Amino acid sequence: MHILSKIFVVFAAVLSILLAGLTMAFAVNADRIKADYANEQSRRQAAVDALASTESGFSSERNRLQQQLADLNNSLAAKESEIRELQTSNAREISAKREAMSQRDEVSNKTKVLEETARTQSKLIDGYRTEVTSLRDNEIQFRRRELELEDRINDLESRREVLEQTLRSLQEQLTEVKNSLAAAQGGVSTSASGEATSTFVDNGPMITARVESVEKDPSSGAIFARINAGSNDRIRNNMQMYIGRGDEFIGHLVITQTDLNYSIGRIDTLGRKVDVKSGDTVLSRIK
Amino acid sequence: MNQFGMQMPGGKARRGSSPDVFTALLFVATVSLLAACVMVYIHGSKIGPNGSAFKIHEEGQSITFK
Repeated sequence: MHILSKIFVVFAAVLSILLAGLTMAFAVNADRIKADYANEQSRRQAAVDALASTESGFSSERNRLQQQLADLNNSLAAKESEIRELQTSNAREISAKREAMSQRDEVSNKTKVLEETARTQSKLIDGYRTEVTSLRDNEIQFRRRELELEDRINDLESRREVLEQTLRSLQEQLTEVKNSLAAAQGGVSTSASGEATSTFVDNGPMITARVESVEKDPSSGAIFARINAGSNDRIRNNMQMYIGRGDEFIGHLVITQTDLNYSIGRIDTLGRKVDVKSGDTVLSRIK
Repeated sequence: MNQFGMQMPGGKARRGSSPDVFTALLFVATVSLLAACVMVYIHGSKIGPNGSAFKIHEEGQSITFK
């Protein structure tokens, strides 16, 4: 046998042994894989069955979840609209806050100005207080002096009143003397006090007066006039005088009350419709 | 002339034989076995545990490939 044949025989034997080992291992592995494949097939079928049952459960669960999702979407939309409203409100609040901050700054500035003003006014008040204190002291001094002067004035006033009373009594005595003298000259009947008891016309020197005011007595309806001549001018009660305006005769005036410087008398227009006015002339007798 | 394989009279006899048809058949068989080994090894390494063509999967355990 040729050497190559021998070598090939050896190689073929070795390769046969190797191939036998590989083939056995391949066959066993294939058998295991096949068995495992069958197990996996049955397991997969069981899983598919479980999946189907689970899917049916999942379907209801999915429907429930979809319904829940729809509800949540609606709720989300409502929340989003609410968020938008809140954002709008927030924007308004922010603007209001800015406005309030600006107002606060403005108030702060005004407060500073007012503080400065108050400080200035406090200084002014201090100055005024000092001035008022000095003025009060001066016023107290003036008041004391005024009181002293008032006391002196009161003394002088009382003295003057006494003198006036004395003067008035002297004038009344003088008037009585004049009336007595006039009565003696005119022949008018007088009472015990020297007054005429009936209406008379004065025959003495002409007395001229003016009507100051005219009033109507509501109780008797008589019209009374006040003239600017009194007992100092020899006017007496019951004296009849004549009222005129220019050259026109208005009526009679009978004196009912006399004083030193004025008299009051009742107007008699003799039935004519004429009015006596302020400024009309009153004469003791017709010229 | 013995360079040409001719047996010359009186020449020394040869001790080995020359390749023949069996040698060729053995060569072909060897090559076929080698090819079969290579193919079985390649495919066995694909299904063998951890890529080994000579190992076998343990029974009862999960089958893992490389």
